[in-house]
Amino acid sequence: MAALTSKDEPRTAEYAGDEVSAIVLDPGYASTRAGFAGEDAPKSIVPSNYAFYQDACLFGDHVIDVPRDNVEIRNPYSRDGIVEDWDTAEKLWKYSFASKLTGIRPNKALQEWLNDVNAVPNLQKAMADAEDTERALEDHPLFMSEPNWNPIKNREKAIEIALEKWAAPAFYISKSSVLSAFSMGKSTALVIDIGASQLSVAAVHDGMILRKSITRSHLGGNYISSQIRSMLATHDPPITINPHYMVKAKQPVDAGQPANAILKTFDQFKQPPQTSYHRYQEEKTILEFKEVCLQTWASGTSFRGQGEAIAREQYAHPFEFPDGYNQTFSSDRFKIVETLFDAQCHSPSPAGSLDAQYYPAPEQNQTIPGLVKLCINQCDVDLRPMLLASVVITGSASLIKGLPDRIQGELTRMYPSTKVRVNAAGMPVERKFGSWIGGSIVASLGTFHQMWISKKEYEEHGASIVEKRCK
Amino acid sequence: MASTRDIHDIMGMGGGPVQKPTNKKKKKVVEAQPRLSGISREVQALMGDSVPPVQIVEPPKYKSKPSLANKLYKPRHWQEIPFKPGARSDGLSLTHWKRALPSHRPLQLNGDVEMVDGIQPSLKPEYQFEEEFPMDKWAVAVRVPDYTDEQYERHFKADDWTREETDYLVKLASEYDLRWIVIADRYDPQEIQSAQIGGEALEVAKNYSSRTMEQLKLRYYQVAAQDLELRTPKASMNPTEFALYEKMRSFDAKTETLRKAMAEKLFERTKDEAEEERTLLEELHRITKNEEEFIAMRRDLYARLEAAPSLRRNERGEEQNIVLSSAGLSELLSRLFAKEKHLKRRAPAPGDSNSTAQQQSADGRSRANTSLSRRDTMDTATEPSKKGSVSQQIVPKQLTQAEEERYGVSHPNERLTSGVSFRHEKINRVTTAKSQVQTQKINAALTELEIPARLSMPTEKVCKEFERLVSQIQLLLDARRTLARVSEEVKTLEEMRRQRLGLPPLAEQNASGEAMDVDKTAPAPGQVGRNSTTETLQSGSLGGQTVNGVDGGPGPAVDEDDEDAEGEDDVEASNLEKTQNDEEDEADNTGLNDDSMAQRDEGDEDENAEEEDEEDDDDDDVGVEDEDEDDDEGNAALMRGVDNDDGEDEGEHDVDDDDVEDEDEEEEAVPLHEEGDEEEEEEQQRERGFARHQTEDEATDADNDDDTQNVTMDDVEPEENDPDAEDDDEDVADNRPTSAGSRGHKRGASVISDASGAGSNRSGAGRKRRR
Repeated sequence: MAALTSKDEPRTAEYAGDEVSAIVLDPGYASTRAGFAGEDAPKSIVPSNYAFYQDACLFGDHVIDVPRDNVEIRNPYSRDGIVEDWDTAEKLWKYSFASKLTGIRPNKALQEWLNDVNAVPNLQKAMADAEDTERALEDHPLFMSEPNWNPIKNREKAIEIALEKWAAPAFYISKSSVLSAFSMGKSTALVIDIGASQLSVAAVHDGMILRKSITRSHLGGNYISSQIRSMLATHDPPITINPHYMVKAKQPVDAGQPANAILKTFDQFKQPPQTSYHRYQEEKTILEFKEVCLQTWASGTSFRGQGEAIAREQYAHPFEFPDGYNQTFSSDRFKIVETLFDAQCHSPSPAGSLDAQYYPAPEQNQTIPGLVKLCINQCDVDLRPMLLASVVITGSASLIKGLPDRIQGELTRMYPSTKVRVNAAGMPVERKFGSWIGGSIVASLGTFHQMWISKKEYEEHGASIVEKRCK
Repeated sequence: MASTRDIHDIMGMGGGPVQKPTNKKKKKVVEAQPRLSGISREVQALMGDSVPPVQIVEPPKYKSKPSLANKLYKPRHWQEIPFKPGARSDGLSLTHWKRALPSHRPLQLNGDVEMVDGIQPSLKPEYQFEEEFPMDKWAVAVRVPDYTDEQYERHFKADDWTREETDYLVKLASEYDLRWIVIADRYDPQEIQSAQIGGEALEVAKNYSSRTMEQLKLRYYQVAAQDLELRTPKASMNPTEFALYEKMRSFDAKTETLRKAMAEKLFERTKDEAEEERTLLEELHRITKNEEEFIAMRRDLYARLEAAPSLRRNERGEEQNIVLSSAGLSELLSRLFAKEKHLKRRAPAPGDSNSTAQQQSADGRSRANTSLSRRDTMDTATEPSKKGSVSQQIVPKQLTQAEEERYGVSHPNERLTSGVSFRHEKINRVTTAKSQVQTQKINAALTELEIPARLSMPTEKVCKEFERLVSQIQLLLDARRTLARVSEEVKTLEEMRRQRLGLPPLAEQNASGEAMDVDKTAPAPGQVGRNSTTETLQSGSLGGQTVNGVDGGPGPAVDEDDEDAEGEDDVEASNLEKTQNDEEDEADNTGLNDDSMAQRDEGDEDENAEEEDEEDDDDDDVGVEDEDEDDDEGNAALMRGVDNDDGEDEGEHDVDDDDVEDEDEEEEAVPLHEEGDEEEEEEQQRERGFARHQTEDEATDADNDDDTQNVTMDDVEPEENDPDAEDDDEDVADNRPTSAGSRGHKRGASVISDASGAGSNRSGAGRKRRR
């Protein structure tokens, strides 16, 4: 075959995707997304948190919200966003596609042998086969995303599960930052991914992540939540969150007045739901607070000092908690987001609490500008202008009002000599599921067929093949 | 119009059959019912003429929905079929949905297929699908060098790279398709050891250092170039291969590192620096965008500056309107106004000897004064007393030295030309020497020094330097010429001595090629003598009539010159001949160019009548030279029209009537010996591609030299408006290349053209000259 040169342009047909009904799985700390490659949004979005109830794992959006006896909310990921609990992670992932996309595959034994006794060759073998046929992904190649800093062991574990346990015909795993860049139509980009557990900045060049440029810090969505908690705790008077599940009835009250609500008691349970459950429910309220109140300080003045005063006077915003308590928040709602840019805006969590342990005060080089600087400095100087010309912002936590504009402003100020252009998808769905969408694009391409790691290859080379092939 | 019916009428053929059917048709159309669609014809016939009161059929929609019932729409067949991606060798089978090709319908089964228990209908429809798209054509791999151990030892060894490192690098290069940024990112010395086997390697591995991208590139290119050369010897490489080979060979890691360091500095500019660069870039962008516009505007401006005076010449009445139309050139306007006033004032008083005498004396005294007085009349022709106050208002601020330098303020000692002038004009004047030949030489010298004739950035400083340079060049040229002349004289004298002593001419004489040349080309003594006489006479008449009598300033200089010439003639000991020869020449010329002669004669007559006026005028002109520059340019332009010359030179240079005279004297005084040099030099120049001009020049030169005596031209008079007499000559020579020694006529022609342009007043010089 004649070698191709860079001048050979693909024909129109060659751009077209060639879908092989691959499943794209994008696991994250907050949610696990799954869907068919070639679609524009994941069909199945499952919270990564699961309810551990009576030695069983309950997955799914509504199931885990139900207050149960001594129910515990767990997460299979560590706070770095990488898998700790593989057993549950496997179940969770399987649930994410099997529950809505592929379904539990019908048992061959039930289908074919039920009415025909003669067809059953060997009962022992039949039972083994029957189990085997339950493998969820027999017809679907699996395309996965992984955190940029995913250790090799975890990748190998993932391919093992996919090819051996789920019997997928082929497998591929790719860094989520690369996929986010693809979702914005870029092959070279500086990806700022503000996820739940981690804030990560990485440079992607020509569809490959630059390993040395991967930087991250804990200033993700959960950190913002912890800031909100400590803000509420230090509020005068301190505000306690009574999540929806606790509120039985409530009366409207004036702003700033104590809530007039009747709370539920959980006397029917031998043990009330565990703290983790309560915390998870609190988190839902906090999420609402984030969506409603949080805003990025965008004005030209610096926030600390001058901006804080202006915000206090001009930008008050009311918020009503589930129990009816409502209050206006002004400078605080800016200050919390400002922490992402200015480490000194951090408000320490109450000493001894989980938050104080998990989310210590950040250094300046852990903020967004700090990480970008670290990342850019690790890149070749020829590449830097290109990276800054296509900065991709993704991740759910980046949906805070005005955040992309602020990042644009910060980077323009930091790098006045080059053109900085921030690309952030306008639609929340695209911003949240950037890496999934990128995976969906890649996995549906006709040219991607050659990239899959087939089962045969896996059997030949073992799990280490993933490191060779998925660069 | 007559229709066929009319014709039929006239011919008595009756109405004709054509008419009837149309009537019938019309009737039918009127009767026709709107046909209802959707009802069969029979049903409609039952209804008769009556239209049903209710709409019984739904009117058809424009676009009906496809419905399976109507069989308007047939679903294409889709099928999930397995396929094997072409680029894979592991036999992975994937499935995708494919649509059947439309041309191949499944085998049609008439009616329902009866389901027979247990037996599937054997007639399975067969579909055809498109071929799988050859996606594997995108599976390309980059070719990296490969080598055996032996080859490595022999060809690829390097001091600072081990075999393992090189292997690892090549592996990375192929893995990442030579994306150097990625390779440099992934290059991990730790991985090299892991590629090796055994604990022994671990110890070695410690030595592996991390490498910069440039080091990696350098090593890879070395290896790849070597590999390429081994594969295809240098001689048999095709151009692309060789280009690649050369590129890889010449990769310079140091330069690359340096470039990166600089790029980094550029990247880390501060905001102010970046801003400044941005504004500069914007400015540049704006300039380049408007460049054409600027050029057009400038051209327009030049055109106006040059065209306006000639307009004045041509159509005095309309001149004001035309100039007024060029807005923004108020300077020019005021200048023209002043000039007009000057002319008007002067015109009615040709006999007013008082005023003219005043002016003359002023001219004679000093030029600076003249220019001052000129300015007075210009700026405030009516109220000269106000001038001082005005100028004070204009220059209220005392500039410091630095500021003056910055704004280009100068306090020139030489007189200023009035009105707007460009510096490069002044510079052009500097480069044009007294004679064409001299000018050419200066220009040649400048080209040799790679200095453009028109300075691209004529700042004050540059101009000064340029002037200095040109004067130096002139000095050198003069020196060379003198040297040539003296050496020639020495030779001649030696020769004479030899002859006197009765010695035979020595071979020594031929030793110098230059001397030979001169000898060959030197005109016969008789000829020289004859021409020189003409010159002497001419100059004598000139000196007597115009210069000596009236003028105190430039006259003596010319005279001196002439006397010189005569003196030299004497030295030459050529036999003087009669003026008649010259006149004969003239007669010949008349024969050759009737037209111009006729004109000239006319001019002559006029001039005879107004000799007095002429003299005044001429003197005036000497004083007002600069003022008249434009006029002269105008003349030049006109001459272009008359003589049908190529006027490039003329357009640039100035012609002054008085100078024509002086000029010619001097130019004729170009020493004979020059020719040797000249030819040499001209040959050089021709090589440089001035061929046409130069040949012309040579022709002219030949002419000139025929005319010339061995006269020194020692006094280089700093006249500004020298040259163009020569140009005229040249042009005439162009027209009639056969007429050697037709000076008188040539002069006549040029002067006549002047005269025809400027009126009889201005052609005195030519006439005098002929006499």
